[in-house]
Amino acid sequence: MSEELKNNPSPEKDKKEEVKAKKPVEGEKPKPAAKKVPPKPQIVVAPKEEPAEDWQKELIKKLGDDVEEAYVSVGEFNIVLKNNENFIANFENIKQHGFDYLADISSVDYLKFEGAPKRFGLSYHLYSMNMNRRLRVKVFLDENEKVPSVMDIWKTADFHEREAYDLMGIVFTGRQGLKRILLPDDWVGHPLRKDVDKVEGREEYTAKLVRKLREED
Amino acid sequence: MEEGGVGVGVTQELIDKFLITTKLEWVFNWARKSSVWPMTFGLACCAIEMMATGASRFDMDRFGAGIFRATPRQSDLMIVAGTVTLKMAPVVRKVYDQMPEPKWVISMGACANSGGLFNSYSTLQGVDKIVPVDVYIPGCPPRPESLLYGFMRLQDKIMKSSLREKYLKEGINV
Amino acid sequence: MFKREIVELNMGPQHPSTHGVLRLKLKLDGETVVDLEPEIGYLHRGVEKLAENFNYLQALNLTDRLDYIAAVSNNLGYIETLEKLGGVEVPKKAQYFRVLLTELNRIASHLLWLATHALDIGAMTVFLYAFREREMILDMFEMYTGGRLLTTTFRYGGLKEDIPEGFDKKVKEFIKIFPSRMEDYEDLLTENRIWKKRTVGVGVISAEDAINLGLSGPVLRGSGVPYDIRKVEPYEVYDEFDWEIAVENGCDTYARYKVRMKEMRQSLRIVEQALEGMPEGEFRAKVPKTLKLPKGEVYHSIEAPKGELGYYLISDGKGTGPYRLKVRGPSFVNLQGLKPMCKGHMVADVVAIIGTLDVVLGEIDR
Repeated sequence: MSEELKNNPSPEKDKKEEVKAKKPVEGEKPKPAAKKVPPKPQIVVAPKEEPAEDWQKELIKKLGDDVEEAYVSVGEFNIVLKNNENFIANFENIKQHGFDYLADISSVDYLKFEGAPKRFGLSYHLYSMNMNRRLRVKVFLDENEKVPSVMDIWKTADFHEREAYDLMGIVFTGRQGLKRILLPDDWVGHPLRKDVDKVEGREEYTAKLVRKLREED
Repeated sequence: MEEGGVGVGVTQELIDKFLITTKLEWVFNWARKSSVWPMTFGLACCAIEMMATGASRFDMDRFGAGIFRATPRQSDLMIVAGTVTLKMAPVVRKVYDQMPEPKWVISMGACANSGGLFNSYSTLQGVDKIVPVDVYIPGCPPRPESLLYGFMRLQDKIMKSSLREKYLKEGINV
Repeated sequence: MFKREIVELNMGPQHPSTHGVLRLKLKLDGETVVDLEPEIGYLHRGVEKLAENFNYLQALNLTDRLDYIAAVSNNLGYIETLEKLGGVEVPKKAQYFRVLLTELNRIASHLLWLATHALDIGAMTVFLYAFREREMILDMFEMYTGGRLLTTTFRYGGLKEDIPEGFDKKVKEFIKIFPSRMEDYEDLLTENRIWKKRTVGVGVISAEDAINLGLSGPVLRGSGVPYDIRKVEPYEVYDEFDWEIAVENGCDTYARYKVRMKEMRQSLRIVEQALEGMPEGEFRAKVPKTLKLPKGEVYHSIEAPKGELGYYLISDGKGTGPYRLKVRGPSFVNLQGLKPMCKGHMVADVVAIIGTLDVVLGEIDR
């Protein structure tokens, strides 16, 4: 038992160090060299710690190879999952582990974020009613990469997934009724993406609307 | 009054006491301004202040506008209270079209006036792009007093409106 | 003899009882609701996108306008999220005052719910009564922040300014008056036969379904789940006060009504204790003028009057504003409970069930 536990976190640790080592070298150095103007202020990074509690280790062990990274940061336990064929089974596993309450699904566009492995990310915020614990499950997605829906496990995912589709353009598979929820049906584009300006599409849509109303008069 | 005419029995004293002469237009306008029926058209934060204006402390009924109707067919004032989004804009216009003449519009709050804080992809930058506005009330949200003041300015405006102009506009020669 | 037909009925977005611009597509068999789909987004103002373009303090203004009935709670959740990532210690006095204002706001929010919910069902008097007491609380907000409704109350590391003189007098007056006013409301409603007919057994949802649907706040507690973040994950100084979680087992509209009434009493208890135990000292910790947060991410949730209000903040460590700010609005999630609650009920009950969910469209559409 103890050997297994020891073996399991160690590869993670190596990976994490790799990632950490990469960040300053690849992400930070070239930019000041190119611009040269002001010396870049030191970026303070919230420290990542090794998960220490038993239930955290147990959960990581249960999910096995599908865990890309697991760490504790700002007092919150994070698990980064791979988007593979075990995705749904992993979430069922997590639910059986006591996390019966899905608080939130957040979609993030990491386009201008240094050190993110892929373009998009989804964060599932879970809570366990009985044990009073919180957990964040993260999954990273490339552009146009689809992700299975967790609606069969938590019904509450319905609105969250529709919102992520509407505003960020992430497509969820294996569910029905994936359509725009907040924006009008004839809207073009996904406004929360980082390459979209905050007012993009407004003037065109307003002009179209005013024209339509004039025609009706 | 001529003797033997319509006004038999009406003495000069009675006329002085009980009759006033005025313009028809003034009576029309006075009646309209004293019983404006606003429509409950709450969109966002301002709607809560609009409710407060109608409730116990500020009591909009004092100005004859206390009966908030739920349907546009029975109301003649639309208080656009809150942010008008692009998705909501056609609805605002439809509701305005359903109101019978004469009708007025108060644009309440920064969002309805100009988009306000929300200079974003999904908000209409001013409700005056889709409906004609009579009174603009600034504030985010305007206090109930502001709404009452704006409403009184609207009453002033109603008093100045001309029947003749209206009929001429509709092609009726007066 | 007669052909039965399913009729589709559109309710909203301009409807007196949908509390704003909620639109429902109802499918009716006679007068019974067979199916229902909420259509939202009529108040989608792009808050999350705007927050990315603002700095941390400017984005505070946006949080006011999410749940505009409980602006103080929204401010608190956001500021605490920043503080959690920044790791700043807030002085005790600021914490006490934060709790005091938030609980007053909870009472104000519940009063507005009571007023509109009763008005929807047909009790006009409660509307006028509840607004009277709500104005007292708004006066206190105005005294401290200058705003009645949208307060922009707190700042990173503590309070905006010190507590004004004479504030405690106003609170004390409210504490003195409010319990008897609560009795007035309850006299009008709790044992009222019409009220009971309209609420008992309407909109039933089991605890299991409620958790699966992610419901929170009084809606979840009305189904017998004692989930109140103020107790289970105490923030600020909630663990120093003596109060109880309001729970009912009825699972219906009446139970949720009772939960909120209980909650107002408990909030008043907390207000009383917070005022009594208000410590002396600094009202704000020493923080830099331009706020910069370390690179990282944080999810923090508080118990807003409507339920679990969560903020998910990502900072890239470079800018002075959030890289991404996602708001988990309680109303947004609670609205999903509408469909299972309404099925099999009459159209008139839909109005009661919207009222009992206490949704605010600013928070749903963001």
